[in-house]
Amino acid sequence: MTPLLQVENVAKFYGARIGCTDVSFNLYPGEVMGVVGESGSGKSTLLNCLAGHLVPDRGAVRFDTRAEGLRDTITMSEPERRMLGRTDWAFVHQHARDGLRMNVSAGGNVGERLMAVNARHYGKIRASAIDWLGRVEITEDWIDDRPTAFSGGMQQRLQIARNLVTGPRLVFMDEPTGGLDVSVQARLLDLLRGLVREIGLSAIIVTHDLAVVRLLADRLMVMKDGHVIEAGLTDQVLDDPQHAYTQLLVSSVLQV
Amino acid sequence: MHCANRRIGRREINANAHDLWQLPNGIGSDHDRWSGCGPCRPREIIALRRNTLGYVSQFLRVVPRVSTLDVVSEPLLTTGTPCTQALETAQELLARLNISERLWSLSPTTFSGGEQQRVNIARGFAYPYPALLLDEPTASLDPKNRAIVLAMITEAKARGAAIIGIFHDAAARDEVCDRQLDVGQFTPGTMV
Amino acid sequence: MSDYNFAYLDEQTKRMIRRAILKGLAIPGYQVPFASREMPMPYGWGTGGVQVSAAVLTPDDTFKVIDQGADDTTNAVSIRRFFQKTAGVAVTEATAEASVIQTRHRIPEQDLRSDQILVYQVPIPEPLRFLEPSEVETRKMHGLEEYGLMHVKLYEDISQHGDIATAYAYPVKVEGRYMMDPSPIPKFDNPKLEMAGIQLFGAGREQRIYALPPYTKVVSLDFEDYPFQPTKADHACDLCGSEVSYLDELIVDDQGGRMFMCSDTDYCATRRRQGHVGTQGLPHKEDAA
Repeated sequence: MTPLLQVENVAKFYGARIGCTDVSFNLYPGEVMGVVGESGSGKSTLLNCLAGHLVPDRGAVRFDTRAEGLRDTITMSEPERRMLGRTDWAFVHQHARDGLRMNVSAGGNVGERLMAVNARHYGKIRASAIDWLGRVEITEDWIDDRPTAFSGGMQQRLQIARNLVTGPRLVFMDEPTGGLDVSVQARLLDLLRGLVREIGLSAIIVTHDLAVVRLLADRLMVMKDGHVIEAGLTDQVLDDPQHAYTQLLVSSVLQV
Repeated sequence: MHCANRRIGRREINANAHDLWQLPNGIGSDHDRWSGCGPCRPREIIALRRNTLGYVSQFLRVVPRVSTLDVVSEPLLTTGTPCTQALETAQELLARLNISERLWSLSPTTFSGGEQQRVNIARGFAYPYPALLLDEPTASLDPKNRAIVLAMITEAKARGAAIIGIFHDAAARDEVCDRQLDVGQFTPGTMV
Repeated sequence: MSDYNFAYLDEQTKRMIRRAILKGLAIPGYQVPFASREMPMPYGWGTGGVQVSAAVLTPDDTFKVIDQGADDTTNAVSIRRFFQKTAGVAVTEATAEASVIQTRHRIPEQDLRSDQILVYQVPIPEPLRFLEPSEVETRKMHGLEEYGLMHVKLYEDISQHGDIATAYAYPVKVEGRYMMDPSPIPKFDNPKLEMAGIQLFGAGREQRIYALPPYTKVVSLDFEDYPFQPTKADHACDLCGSEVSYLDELIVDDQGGRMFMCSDTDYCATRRRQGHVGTQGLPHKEDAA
């Protein structure tokens, strides 16, 4: 089976500082991979390197493209990479306003990716927008409202709908539940789990919240100071942490 | 202590896995792959867990605020069962395990220990996995529910499932187990 | 003869602007950056158009300026006088007689010929600016021909107003390649963008020049189920009776009385001279004009 994403020795430096280094893994279709670590551990740098927002200094990030199979997204041309960003990839930002157009209605936000791939029928675009708003539990009567009128949780769900409308195969998520209150987090987690199950999404989720990865991720990578210090199945890593830092991380979680 | 036990347990499973389990189409069916159950083959293990290997743990870990019915039907949905059918099966299981119907729409995180245990069992038995791991399935149950769970284990055996269970409850052990293995000999400190 | 260099700008500056114009003509619809100069008028009053006019004017030209179609508004009169004084060129109000026409917000009703140049004043040259504030990003979007965003604007129109409510500065695609803002002309004028004359667009504050060579293919954006429709007030001109020209609506008293009249004053006057009379118009008298 071909991996959906093949990451090989990716490294990114900020001058003499290490952003992340020696990261390698394969992600297969339908898998959800969590990346945890404290602030500054390099997890967001890694995510941005994988999603094409940053150019790594070393290594290869190969994506299984529909047309030509595995292609290194770092060396492919910018138009190709941006095309991937609009079609097969999705990026869910921690702050919904980074991923939304705040001066465009909810329907326009969801429809943008469709129009970017040349959908030119208003009725059909709107129908897809309504469908996707429904899937993220936003009722149709919000479709013409701007996201500025939405609550934080709704904005985040709108961002997810906007990203998934073109049927991406790989979703990058940067702290998707960060900054939301716990009940909204729970709803979002349930939603993401359902979407992963229904449409067979693969995802890479960066978070510092171990509870989130336990519930969403099949696999886990623990990062510290730019290095991957432990990786494995989520429950293996969390229930039986081998590295001292992971043990510290797991034992630092507040129990309710 | 708990950790050490688990590690011992894993080694034990490795040693016995291939003679107990008939796995479909080469998924982990050769011993080499199996013994590498570390991070090197996560994809196979994920697939295995999804379709082949059920697990009833002592701890209920679920997304908060998701209804009991959805929690129990999730393994069925993951394996491609249509939604209505999955919910029906979940209802039957919950009814059988004496979870009162008024609780079905609530999140199991608010339930008592025994109720959570039964929800966990319902979830584990919802999909007919060819192999099951049970961690103290009868531990916090009253006699009536204990009997039901033992009956469910017997039924799973009857349909051909291979089961490895941890039982402190000697009577339950004697009732459902064909082979028994005392892990006491592996416990650190008793080795000498 | 005035004390100014011909047409106010020095020769080096005019040469620089002409280079930008040539580049613009070579890549229709592409926004060419140029070093816009301070002009003796505020930004927003047509500094871009004036610089382009200054660069293309020759002593033999006949110059016409319209503002919203009218030759007699303040802005039009000032710019016309500016070039009368600094270039000493002939000026006219008749579309057919002009060789260079500077315009704000309209295309003359009368078809232009291949020996005429139309110079537009452009406030915001970037059609994508409404949705994407970053210049770096919009340049990249032009470079990679990523124009989905433009339809988002039209989508917003339909969802908010039930129809494409954009009535002016209606976005167009030029020769199947560049997305272009035709300046704030009414969308009624969009079909006229495919014309025999040369069209030059100057944005002074934003320092951009772009151009349409004669008969360039210009397509107004739309949706399959909401096709582009050039619209005008559903009325005839009350002065000259024309049913095909673009109209201004004028409130004439405190009782809500109103009249419609051609926004192109030269077109209206020409028709009235020919004897056409609208419902509120008086027969044309030569001395009354």
